[in-house]
Amino acid sequence: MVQREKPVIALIGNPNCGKSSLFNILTGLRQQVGNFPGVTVDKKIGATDLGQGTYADVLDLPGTYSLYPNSTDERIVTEILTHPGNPNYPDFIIYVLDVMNMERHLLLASQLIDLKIPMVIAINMTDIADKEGLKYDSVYLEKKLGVKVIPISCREERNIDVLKNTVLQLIKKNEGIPDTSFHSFSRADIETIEKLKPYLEETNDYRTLLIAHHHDWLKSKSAAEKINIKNLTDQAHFESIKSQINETMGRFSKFTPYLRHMQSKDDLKSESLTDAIDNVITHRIFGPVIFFGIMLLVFQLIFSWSEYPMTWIEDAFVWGEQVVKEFLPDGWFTRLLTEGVIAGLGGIMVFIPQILFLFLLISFLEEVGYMSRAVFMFDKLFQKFGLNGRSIVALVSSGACAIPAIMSTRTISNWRERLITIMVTPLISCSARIPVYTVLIGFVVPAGSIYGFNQQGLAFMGLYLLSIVAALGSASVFNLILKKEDHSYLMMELPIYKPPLWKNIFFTVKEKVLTFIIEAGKVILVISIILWFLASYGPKADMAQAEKQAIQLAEDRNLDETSSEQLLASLKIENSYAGHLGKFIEPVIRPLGFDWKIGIALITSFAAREVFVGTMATIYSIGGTEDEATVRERMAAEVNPITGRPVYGFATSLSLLVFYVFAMQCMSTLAVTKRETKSWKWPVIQFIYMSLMAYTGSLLVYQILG
Amino acid sequence: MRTILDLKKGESAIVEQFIDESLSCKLLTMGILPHAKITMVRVAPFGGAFYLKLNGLNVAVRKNEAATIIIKD
Repeated sequence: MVQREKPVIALIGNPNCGKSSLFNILTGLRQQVGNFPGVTVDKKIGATDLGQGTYADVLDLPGTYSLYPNSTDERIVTEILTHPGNPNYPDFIIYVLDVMNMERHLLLASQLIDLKIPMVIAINMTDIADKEGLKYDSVYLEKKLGVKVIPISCREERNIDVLKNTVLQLIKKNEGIPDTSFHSFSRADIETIEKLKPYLEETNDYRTLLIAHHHDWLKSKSAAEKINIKNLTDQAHFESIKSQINETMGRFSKFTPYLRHMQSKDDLKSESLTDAIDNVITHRIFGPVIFFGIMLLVFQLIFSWSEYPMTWIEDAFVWGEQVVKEFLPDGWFTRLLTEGVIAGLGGIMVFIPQILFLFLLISFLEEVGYMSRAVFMFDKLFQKFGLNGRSIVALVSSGACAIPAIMSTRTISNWRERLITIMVTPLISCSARIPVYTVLIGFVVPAGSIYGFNQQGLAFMGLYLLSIVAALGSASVFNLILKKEDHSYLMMELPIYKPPLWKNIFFTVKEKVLTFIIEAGKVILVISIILWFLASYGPKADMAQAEKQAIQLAEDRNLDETSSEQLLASLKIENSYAGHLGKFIEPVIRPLGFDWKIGIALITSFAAREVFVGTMATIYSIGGTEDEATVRERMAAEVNPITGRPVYGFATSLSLLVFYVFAMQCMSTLAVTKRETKSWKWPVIQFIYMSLMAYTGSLLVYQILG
Repeated sequence: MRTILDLKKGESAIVEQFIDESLSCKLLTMGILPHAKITMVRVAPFGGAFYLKLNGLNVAVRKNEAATIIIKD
């Protein structure tokens, strides 16, 4: 056992048991999200006051149906519980059980009892049971299982104090270890346990058996130990699957009779309501139509809700830059602070409204139970592309930002399907592309309406469709190339519809937004500073020349102070390292219809795509404005000195749009792909294939239309 | 030998046993046990997945998963 100042209480339960609600009630704002070492599984932990000045750390473990896990998330539970030396091994377990699904939820409870860790069982959702007239006998269950059973309701925060106090008393008295074992092992299991126990120096029979089942992936066992365990279990003629089937059936046949004694279950209102809703929502024809309707509404709401907050955030950062400029003496440090750091921070913060509203709506849909229906409906369709029904959550989320979207793929248990989802998710047009589309779309499609629809609006939708087609198309290609491995499952519970718990939504949204700020933020900030350097400094002689030229030109043209400053900025960026880079790549991007100015913008877009707009503003010397309309006007006036035609003609603009739809221009996404796939291989492939698509796409557009 | 695939929409049957051992582990874990009464509620809009109902549990399974559940005649 690990020695600690504060006891660690693990929350364990099946998916949809209300475990996270209990976690949110117990820990409130003291919760933190981290990672379990070596795996990308969220580790949620937070302190709780048990009363009488005793604090404990509450650990929210991933929901699982049993100690025989199906996914990486679920494995962490078995990993921790089979290894008392694990830093997260709990001193106490609160098992959360949904009274409406008591039979199934007793399986994991009975397994935990056999591990002999101090525990209590919290019967959750008793408010729904009371409304439905569903009876449960916690005293009877307590007697049968040999552990304390406390009925609670997270929705009404009922009996939470009783639960806390019970846990406190048991921890203080060092009690709570289940009195007796639940399961009687088969003869074959006993033989395996007897063989393995001395070698593992184990004291617990069930833990020994679990190690026999899972040793080949348990991190707590070394390679040499794994071989020895394998040999010992072979000697005992241990058959993992048979043993698991026997155990599960044995457990069910022991506790199923308890339910007959305890519960009377007739037709439940919540169930018949769910059936009625599902008759429409998962209908063959209405189902998909309703889904697309909901998605249109979701994105409509996101854009209209975030319009004002985004303007406020932009204005606030512009104001901040001015204030700093006013109070600090002019010099490289002030410019680094304003043009590098503050501008970089602004570039991160401006996306918060869209990301916040998207996750507010998605977690609302998830909380009421809708998302699992969407998974059910689209599973087959997605399988054709090598994806999984669960990929739909990632693909929808990436409409805001690919980073939280990629992280949401953790629920996909099949590695291959998860990998393909990760690889294609960044193709879906995210919020950072919107400002770029807004500037460029006017050069491709004139304002006006067609059949009552706004033409530019339709073009916008076309770009989104193109991104979806590109994502599904690329998925099919990965599906052909990647080797098929182990079996993939769907097998997913469709929980009954429930009114949402706003507290849960609040914490989910907060977590996603913080993830974005931290994950994307640190990368964007560093790159902004590098790009600021590249755009502000250049070879000494060139920069001096640019300054001289600017002064000369300003005098010749009789420019006022602002205009000459903007002219200087424009000439400076042309002669800066970024300008040299832009000119250096010009021969490569010339066939796409791009000049070195666009080249600079492509390079700076690596911080975040929307930096395109700001860069254009600087290059075309219109000063510190980020206003898309102003930038567009100036770009429209730009003429190619050789041909005499506008630079942003139809072909170049469309080519540039296509480039932004496909190109991988987000370092933060690559960093997250690296972390989630635990290898450099996949982000590198992601970067290469998306860049190739962008290049070929733009090349085709420009060569055919130009 | 009939499986879930032979059930019409809205039809119910009693589970007898499973064909695939490793899949059956996962089905058992979710409470899909022999002797349980199971109802085929509907097929997914694009096919391929089944909406099943048993003992208060609504569960979605793929066609190849459903094909491993043998039902009593």
